[in-house]
Amino acid sequence: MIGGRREGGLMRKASQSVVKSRILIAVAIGISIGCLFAFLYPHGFLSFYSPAFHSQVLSSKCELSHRLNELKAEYAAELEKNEELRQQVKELTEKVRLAEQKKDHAQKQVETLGKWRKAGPSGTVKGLRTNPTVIPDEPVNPKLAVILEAVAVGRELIVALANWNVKESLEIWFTNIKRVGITNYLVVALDDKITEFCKSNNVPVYTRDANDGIASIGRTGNNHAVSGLKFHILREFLQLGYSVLLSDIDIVYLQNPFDYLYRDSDVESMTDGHDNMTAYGFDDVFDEPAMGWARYAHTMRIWVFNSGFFYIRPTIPSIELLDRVAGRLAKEPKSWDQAVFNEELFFPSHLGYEGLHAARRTMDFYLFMNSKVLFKTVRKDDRLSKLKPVIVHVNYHPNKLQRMKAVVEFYVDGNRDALKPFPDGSEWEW
Amino acid sequence: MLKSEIVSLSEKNSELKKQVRDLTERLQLAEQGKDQAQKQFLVLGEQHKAGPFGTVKALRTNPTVVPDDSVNPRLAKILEKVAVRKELIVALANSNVKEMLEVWFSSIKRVGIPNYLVIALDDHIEEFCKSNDVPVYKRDPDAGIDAVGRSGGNHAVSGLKFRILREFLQLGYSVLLSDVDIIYLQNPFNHLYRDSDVESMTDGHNNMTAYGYNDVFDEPAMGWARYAHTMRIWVYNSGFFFIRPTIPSIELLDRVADRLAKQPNSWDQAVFNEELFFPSHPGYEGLHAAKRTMDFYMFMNSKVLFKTVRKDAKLKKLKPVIVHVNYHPDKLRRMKAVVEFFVNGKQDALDPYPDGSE
Repeated sequence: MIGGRREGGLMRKASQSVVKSRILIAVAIGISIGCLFAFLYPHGFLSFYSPAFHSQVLSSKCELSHRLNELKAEYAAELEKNEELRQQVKELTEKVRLAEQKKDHAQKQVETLGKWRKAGPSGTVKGLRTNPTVIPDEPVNPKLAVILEAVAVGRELIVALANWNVKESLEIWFTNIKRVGITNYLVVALDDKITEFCKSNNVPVYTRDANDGIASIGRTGNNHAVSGLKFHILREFLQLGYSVLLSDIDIVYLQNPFDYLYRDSDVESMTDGHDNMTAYGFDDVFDEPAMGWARYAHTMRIWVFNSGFFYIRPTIPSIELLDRVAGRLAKEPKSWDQAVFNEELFFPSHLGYEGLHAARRTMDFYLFMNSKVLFKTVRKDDRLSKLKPVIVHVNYHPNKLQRMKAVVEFYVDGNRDALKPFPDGSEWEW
Repeated sequence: MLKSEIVSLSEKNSELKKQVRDLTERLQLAEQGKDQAQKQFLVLGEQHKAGPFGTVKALRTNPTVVPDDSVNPRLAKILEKVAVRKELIVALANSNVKEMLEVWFSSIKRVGIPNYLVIALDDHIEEFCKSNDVPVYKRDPDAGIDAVGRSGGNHAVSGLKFRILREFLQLGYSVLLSDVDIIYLQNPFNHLYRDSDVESMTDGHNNMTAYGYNDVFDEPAMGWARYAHTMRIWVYNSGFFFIRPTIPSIELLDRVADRLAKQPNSWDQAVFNEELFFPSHPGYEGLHAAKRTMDFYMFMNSKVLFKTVRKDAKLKKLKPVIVHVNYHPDKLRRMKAVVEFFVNGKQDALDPYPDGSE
């Protein structure tokens, strides 16, 4: 190696043409020797890295280029590792958040039970809001148990009921779910065509065994009748120990709802309300001037929970709720499931009626957005329209398919004009 | 240059690796904590399998706390003597309401209810009760409470009760909190369900307003979806309610007392109801307490009496358990008229009074 370089220095003094070929030969020899030694002693050369060596062009050139490649490879490897680690950190952070949420709930449950004790001082007493879950009972529906085992993540999943009537909305529904990257969702197919449709689109689907009343309503029922079915069907999911995010079909998913749930109540539901008061409850003062001094009567008022999108945990009160609703819908043929759902959740016990005692949470109405909030308020407000909701539910409008597509264009494709053609309200435009 | 980039990248990577290690550890700890808690829970609690359709019933009647006499030994002794089956009527009174108080305890005595107690907010009332053989309790001096108690108007005094009642519950007693503008016609303890945390009379005047209804909100501009459905119920009257000594009940009292202290212009009845009715929402953890609304013909507010009952031949014959003169300011006069009507049988005793008032 060293000899090669000295030769190179002396070579410069020779004449042009004869020397050219000798130079070339020497260069070739030098490079190969240099590379040989570079290969043999990769670190050795670096330790001798002094200005004197730097001036020896030939083998250092080879060494440099080789080193460059090495470095590039190292850099690429580190970059890849960096990416991997970042991804790992992200996943772990999410897992930790969920695990800590669960641990909190479990600990609160224990604390409350264990404390058949004295009440602590002011400010320290907290009742249990997060009821314990039931023990899963597989024999209830082994076929469904197998499906849920495969589809659910963390024992929770999105569930929707669908018959052929809503096929087009269903397509938008699952397309967006897939786009967001949600894997734990399931369609309960109410007829064979939908079953086929889901299977051919790689959508997890569950078809109930044909039994009596349920099957026929499912096949031919309009949206109210089908809506009532869900309370009957969901019960099995809860009995198997799964939390269900019940979803209507006219909902566009923009983020993963499971990242936004509190999971601290029996029922966590989106609201039909459109501002803080109507969504979360307010004192609606009733004025009766004839009463004079006591003309103002105070009343508690809240806009209903939307029974088309709610998260229900597998607890005893939750199952009791489903039973009560299903029972009343069966007995009172003209009743509307959303009304009954809410009445059972809200009315206290009174003469002749034992109230349900279930913990409730209202979802943030800007994140879990109903279409009245979107079309009447959000789209007209500069700041609010920059918000990205978790879901948009086209519940307040009959032309659902059209509006769903517009919502996708607005939020997903970024077309800021997509919502303009639509009025705040609507006529009977089907 | 490339080298320095690589060095910084690998530094970042070791940082990230450390983060991963930390997170993994946290995850393990959280899982562990959760597992432990769940195991403890299985031992302590009873996890059930859900039964078949129609058989599942959640617990509405929360377990009571273990009594803690050390909280207030003097009160504990009084309650032991006065209470019957660990429950009693409790009222707060200062000298402002002395005359009403007299009508109040006279009606209680007449019905033959032994388990009642007046919390005297000043010495004069204490004397008055003692001389009339009325069970009375005066708290140890407490600057904050006493100042309000002595001179406060009815709203301020009303707010006090949430702070004072807590001790009763901690001692393991169920309290039938009563305002002093109430006439007793039957023993309320014979008419309670005792199956909830709070069992309260209502400000409502018919089945819908008293027990809850779907108040449909019409917005014609919305077209197809013009009708928005809302759950509405008239408020519970925080002047007459039965509260059991459970954790949610105590939490309720704490929440109300706390908010009244922090929000100076708030009204205790409003806060009481909001805490009972509003679900959790972003930024707010709702109370989870079981509620029961008392029968509004049995536990009658004065609007029901003067607007409806006295004008109806059949309803007039009903004998309520109590009549609460809440909807009218001339309480003393109307209380006396109620006694005349229901106790002395004078059928025209209520006639001079208008439905409302000025």
